[in-house]
Amino acid sequence: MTVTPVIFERGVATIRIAGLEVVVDLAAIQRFSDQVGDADLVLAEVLGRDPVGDPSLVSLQHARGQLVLAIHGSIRVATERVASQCHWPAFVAGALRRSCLRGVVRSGTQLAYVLDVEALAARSQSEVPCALD
Amino acid sequence: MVFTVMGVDLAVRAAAVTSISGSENHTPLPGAPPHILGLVANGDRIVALVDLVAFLELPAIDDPGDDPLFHRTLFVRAGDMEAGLRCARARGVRMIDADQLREPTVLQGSRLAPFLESELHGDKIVGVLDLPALLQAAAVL
Repeated sequence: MTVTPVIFERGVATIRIAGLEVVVDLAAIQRFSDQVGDADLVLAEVLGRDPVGDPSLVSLQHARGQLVLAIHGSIRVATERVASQCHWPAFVAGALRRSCLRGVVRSGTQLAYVLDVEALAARSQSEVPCALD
Repeated sequence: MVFTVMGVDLAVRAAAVTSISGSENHTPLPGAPPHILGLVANGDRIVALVDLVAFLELPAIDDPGDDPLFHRTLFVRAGDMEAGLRCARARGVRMIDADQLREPTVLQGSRLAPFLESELHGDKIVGVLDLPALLQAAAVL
């Protein structure tokens, strides 16, 4: 297992979706919207969950541009600096890669997955699973 | 270390067991196969929890001795692979001589057999697992 320090200087957005907690670096988020529109990716589908209800749309900045992510779940934003340890359990690395996750961090008494925005971007552009990028 | 899963007594070398805990609350893991129950925190580590019943395709039995109070997670390591193995009961460490181990002949099961290193015969047959092979096969790489 690899453990690396991870720092979110501007804070994190915490998404709760179908029993999972997923965090996104707030620095990558350009805009939130409740308006229905075309999304490049549906987060629930990336995570192998059924999209339920109306999504929120989040624009994410990545190295080659922006992508719009549809999120069927709640979003909570914390704007303070967060420093943590990101764990990459080699035993399940394939599952993490396929779900476009950078690893897992402790979030209070729970575990939360860290979304890999660059892997999401590659997936949205190539329409292949993250692991095959 | 001997433990029981769905009425089958299995063992791994005690040196491979890093810790034992009660039944863990786990966090589901997206994209994982059914035998990976999720992830759990174990000390300063975050470890995948493996359901051996599902992975070894052990037939379900109605075991009157099965009590959730005794359910345990064995945290094991082989090389750079580590995982938690969920079991119905941890029986404890048994000291044995190498000449007590036999070629596996009694315990059957097409999914179990490839991971049996040997058998220990006594009041009850204990299957000694080839832990590196089992973890390698159960991993999602």
